[in-house]
Amino acid sequence: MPPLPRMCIATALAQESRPIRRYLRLRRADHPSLPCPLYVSQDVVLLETGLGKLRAAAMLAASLCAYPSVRSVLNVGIAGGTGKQGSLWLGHAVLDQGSGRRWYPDLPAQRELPNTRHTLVETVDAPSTDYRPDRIYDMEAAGLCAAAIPVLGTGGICCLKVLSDGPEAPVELVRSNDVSALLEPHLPTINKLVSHLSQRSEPAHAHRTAVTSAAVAITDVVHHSESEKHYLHRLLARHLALAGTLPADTELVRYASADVIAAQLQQRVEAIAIHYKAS
Amino acid sequence: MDTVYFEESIASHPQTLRLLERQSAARHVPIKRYTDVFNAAGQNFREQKARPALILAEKRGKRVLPTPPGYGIGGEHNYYFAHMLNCVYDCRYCFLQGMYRSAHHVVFVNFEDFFEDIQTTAAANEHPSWFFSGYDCDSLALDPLTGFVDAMLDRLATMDKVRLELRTKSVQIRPLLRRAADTRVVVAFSLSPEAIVSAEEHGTPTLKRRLDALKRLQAHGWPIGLRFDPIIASDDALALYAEFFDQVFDELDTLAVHSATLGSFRLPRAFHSKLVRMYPDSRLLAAPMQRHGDMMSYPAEREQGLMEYCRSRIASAVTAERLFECVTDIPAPASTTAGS
Repeated sequence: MPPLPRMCIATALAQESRPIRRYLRLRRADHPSLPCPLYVSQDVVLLETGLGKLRAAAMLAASLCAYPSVRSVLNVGIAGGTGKQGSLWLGHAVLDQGSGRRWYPDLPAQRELPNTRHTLVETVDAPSTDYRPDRIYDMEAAGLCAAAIPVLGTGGICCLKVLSDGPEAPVELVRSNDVSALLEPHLPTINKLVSHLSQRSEPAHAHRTAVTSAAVAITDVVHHSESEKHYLHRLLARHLALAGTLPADTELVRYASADVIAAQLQQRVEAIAIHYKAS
Repeated sequence: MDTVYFEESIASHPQTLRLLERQSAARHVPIKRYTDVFNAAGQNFREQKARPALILAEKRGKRVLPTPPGYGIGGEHNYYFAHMLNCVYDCRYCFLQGMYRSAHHVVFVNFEDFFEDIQTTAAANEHPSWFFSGYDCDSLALDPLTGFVDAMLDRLATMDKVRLELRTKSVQIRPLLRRAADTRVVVAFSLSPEAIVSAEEHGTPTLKRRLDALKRLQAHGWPIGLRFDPIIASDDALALYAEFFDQVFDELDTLAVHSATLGSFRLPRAFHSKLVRMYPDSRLLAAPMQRHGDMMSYPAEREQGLMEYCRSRIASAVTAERLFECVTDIPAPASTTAGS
């Protein structure tokens, strides 16, 4: 069975992804629509998007199409800032320097990221040496927010950054081996957050899944137009919400048309008694 | 709260400083405008409701608005204001879920501007004006944090022509019990049968606790209001509401009730559709509904008898001049099924 990952980790560089994929035991994979290095497990897919917000946005958008089961994205990478080199930061907001656009991802509970500082992540188009103390600088977060939030919502993305350069540690002196070493101490924290984000599910997921399965079982047998399918979904959802069960599809598919099925189902739904006293 | 956002422009406002101090363990995040977070696209109200953030902001523009026509409890001039947006409770029928993109709680810290506007508005009318709090929030539920009630009531001492309704489901009544009752202020509780409270009014105090709070307020001299809104239809509604009214009217001194209101379940159609998408598993939202213009409510045959019954029970306890009905054909959102 192919993996159905619920969680996507996005890094820009191989040096950023290497310690994570070792820690999480991810294996190399290929996907025809993803022209970037890709690593997977049953629950997690990791992308090496390459540098820059446009590449990051394009690769993440493609991966969300390739893996529609993904419900959360965690961006892990290095950033520049005035804080201590090697310190871990949660992005409480993401600013695209080019456009001025800002995103405010819903932040994970503090218990999931104890003792982690937070700040604004400003995404720049080229490495910057103009460090302001109220923010850190990266090159991908804005692209990832732009791709992830319309699909997964503000609760579907989280940015974690490790400071690699700053006024005391010029960016030109950061060697590729340093990047993996900077991330290593934070792998348990990253792993804890990955476990937490992997559990994110669509609200009423079980309800929606049950309704979709029941609807497909009917529409596979009896032709429905798109609007008839929509109406069927709603009637089945109401039946499940009110009665606690779905009608047996075998009963409904004996009717010849979508119209008759809808009429029958509507009649049944309207007849379901609602009692609060016993509930 | 895990996260408190605050507008940079009010970072040094005393109320902001106090609230940030109270929430010192939370992450403090500066923002330009509260709308950047609160109105952002892509938020999941249901998901956020489990762990909302607090947003501290300044209310600009109009702070006091006239209520929709037909809304009131006997006064000639009626207005509402919202010093907070959203509610700590999670009532499945509440229009706030349909109105806002975000479940975060907004507290407008510039109380003084609200008081100024209330005073100016009241001064423009010859007769006393009613000001309703609790449309876009619960008036008391976050009061231990905001301290709004004390600030408002202190200021009310200088506002002769102001009448105030605090509408709530909360039993956070300590600030009211700590001070002498003011007969110009009605503390109005939304009440429902306990079976409906536990099924649909998630996180709210039980009916018994609300009645206890009402009794204590009555004993202290505060005028109290009873808000039977919305009436929720079900196949056992008559039995449910019969027992409920017995309980309410047995417990309270009905002769001293300032006012009672009655309202049917109603939501703007767009809000209802949004709620159904958010809560496809909700029994209340799956119940038969009918479109009445731009509003959704129960089919007439489902609620008519129930509303008549409720009306007659309330009328037997509260005199006609103190009973008011919220009608369904007034415009959204302020007339719709409210949070408290």
